[in-house]
Amino acid sequence: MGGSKSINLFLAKIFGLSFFWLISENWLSHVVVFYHHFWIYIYHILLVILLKLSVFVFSFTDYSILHGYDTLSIVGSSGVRIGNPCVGFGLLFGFFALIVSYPAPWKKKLWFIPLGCFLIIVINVIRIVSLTISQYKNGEFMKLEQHDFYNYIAYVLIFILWVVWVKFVVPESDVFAPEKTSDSNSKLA
Amino acid sequence: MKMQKSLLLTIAVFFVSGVISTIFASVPPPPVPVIIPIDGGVSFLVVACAGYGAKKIHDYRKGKEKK
Repeated sequence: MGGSKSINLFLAKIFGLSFFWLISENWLSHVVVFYHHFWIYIYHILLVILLKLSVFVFSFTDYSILHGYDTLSIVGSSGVRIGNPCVGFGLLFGFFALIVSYPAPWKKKLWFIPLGCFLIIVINVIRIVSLTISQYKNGEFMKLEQHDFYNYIAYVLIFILWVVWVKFVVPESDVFAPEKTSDSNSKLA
Repeated sequence: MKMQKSLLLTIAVFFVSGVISTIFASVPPPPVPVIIPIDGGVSFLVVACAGYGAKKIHDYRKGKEKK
């Protein structure tokens, strides 16, 4: 497999997975009942994980907190609501799509995807806890600027994770490894 | 005398209406928890990462060709 073919295949896989995401999120999960339940269940699991981890982090602080199914607040503030766009399902899927699409051995992908997903969830928990505290301290004034600021930090950290994957985890020899395998297979055949 | 009565009545009406409006003034709604989405910029992130990944593969290929 040549270099340009590797690039094309990499981009095509990302495009395909992104397209699958868009279809699932905006159409399939609204039309197909089974798929709707499946999709909502993933959001539910992520929400529960995030909320439990956030509550766990707060247990090390002096703040008294209240939490509902999808809300978290420090007593005396309105708190934050973790809706579907807040659980980071899109981020996790985007990360998964990038790693799966990149030409690299599956052994490396199999440990890097869970590690990356775990780190993204940790980043999101830190974001939720920070926003809850800043919402308590600053009241209504926190809304957009701080919220966006934390999002940008999360994006930058995920980009750094990607750079680590591309630069350090998958060396040049690994990128063209499938090429060697397919060549040797074809020669054998 | 009549003038005084009407003045008193006017003041009383204003006073009572003020008291009533204060009593029945609508209580401001409780603050709603703020929604904190993070998925808004995913597409930009994926495009940026894909661009970087593609460039890296391209560089590797160039390096390989030089060798």
